[in-house]
Amino acid sequence: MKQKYLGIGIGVRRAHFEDLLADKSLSDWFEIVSENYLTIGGKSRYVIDTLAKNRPIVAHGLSLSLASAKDPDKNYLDLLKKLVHDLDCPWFSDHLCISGAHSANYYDLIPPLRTEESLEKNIQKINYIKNYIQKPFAIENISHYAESTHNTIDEVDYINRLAEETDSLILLDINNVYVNYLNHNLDAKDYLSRVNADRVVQFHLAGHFQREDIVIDTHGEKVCEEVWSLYEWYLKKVNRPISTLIEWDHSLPSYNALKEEAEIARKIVQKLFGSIHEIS
Amino acid sequence: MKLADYEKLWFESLNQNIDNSKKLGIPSDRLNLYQDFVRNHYIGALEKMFPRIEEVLSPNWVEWSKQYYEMYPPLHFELNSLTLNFSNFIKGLVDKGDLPEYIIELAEYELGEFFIYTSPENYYQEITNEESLWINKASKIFEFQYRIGEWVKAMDESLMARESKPEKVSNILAITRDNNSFLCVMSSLNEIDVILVELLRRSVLKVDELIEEFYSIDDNLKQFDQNLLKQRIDFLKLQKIIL
Repeated sequence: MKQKYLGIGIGVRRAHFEDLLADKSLSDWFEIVSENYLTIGGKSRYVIDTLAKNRPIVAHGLSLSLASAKDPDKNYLDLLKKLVHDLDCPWFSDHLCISGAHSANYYDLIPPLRTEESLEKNIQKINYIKNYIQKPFAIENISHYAESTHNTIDEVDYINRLAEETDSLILLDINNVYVNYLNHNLDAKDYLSRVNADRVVQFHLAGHFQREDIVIDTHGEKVCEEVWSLYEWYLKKVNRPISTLIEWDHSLPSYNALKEEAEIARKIVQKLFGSIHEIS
Repeated sequence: MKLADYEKLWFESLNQNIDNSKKLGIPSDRLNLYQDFVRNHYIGALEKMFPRIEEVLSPNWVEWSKQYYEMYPPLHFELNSLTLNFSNFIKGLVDKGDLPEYIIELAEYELGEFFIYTSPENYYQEITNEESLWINKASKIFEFQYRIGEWVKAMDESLMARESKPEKVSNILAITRDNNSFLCVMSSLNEIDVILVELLRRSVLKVDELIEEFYSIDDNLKQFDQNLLKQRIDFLKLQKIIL
């Protein structure tokens, strides 16, 4: 299941287009939100086509609705397949969630139902998607604000079984684990320890917002100290570098500030493993 | 619980505002959180697409956008596509006398501007024969009853108060994307320009061929001065409507 180590990357956002085009020391790799490029051309497309000539790009989606019984939208799959192959993405990813049902799209990540019946349906769906797109696929754990009493399978077991049965990779969002730890009183290290590390191809690191009543996964803040600690702890535990992506979607900082955040991750990797440019 | 039932309960909660929290086995306040998230994504997309309408309609904007959400739930994976029915929605409000007529054209303008800016048409349209004239597919022509273009420009440059209204005069407006700078260009066109654009939409033509086609349309057009016609072609090229 080993994939190339891509290094430390950042998410491509419209507000940074000019900086990205002018930057002579680009990040190691980039992640794009697939939906922002499926039907849209103009400057957005020009920027990612330009970046793709020099750096790997991973397409990260919101709409496959992996945890839904709804069949994948054929038009969406066709567009996604074209994008992923046009950009020669090393893998593509989406969230383990429901993002739409009954013809509606939510543009949000609704927590999955975790039962044997839903697992079977999710496996069928992911196998269909993987077979259709013909590229390695990574499943991301989500942050959630509600844990249904109807769930019968533990979240980590569910993700591991899903990845195993579909031969998929795992995109491990450490901030999501931490946000869930705060909201649901989970044991973050126990969660991370039980994820099948052999399948973890990528990390997401992001910031969150602490309200009085709940912690919201805003992607609008710096990565907090606790998440950096979990990141370092996990890397030490698995004893290999893993492609890492800094996600920032709201209240965007300057491009340089975003790159500085990525440098923190790079320093942690260098401290643990030395200077690594590429590991297969 | 079956997955189909779980999904149906979420759908009813998010799209029909039904409180299914007990059936879903989750706290009611957490379901409300998701309801707010989904609605806010939707309203946020509207605000991004129609910033001037939001400004003009404020403080009623939030109420109108909630009504729109209920009438046109999001069906497409591309968030911006949910705005496609907004002009129809606005027209309904105008017909009821709730909004002034020009808002319909403002909605069409803002929608057109966004979709031209993000048009998937090739940004590097291949010109194999430089003598030929090509239509820029990232362009759209509007026939308006109000001077929306000038009004928008004045609003954007803060030269006009939000309360002002555009003048009611029939006019033709084009929005075009410059495929080098990717910026949108707004141009005032006349009826001759529209004929030239329509001819080029049908086929790629050289200048002489375009002029010949133009004069063959009807006898009235034969009176139009050829030098002036060439000037209009140059104008359309300058405005990036013709490549």
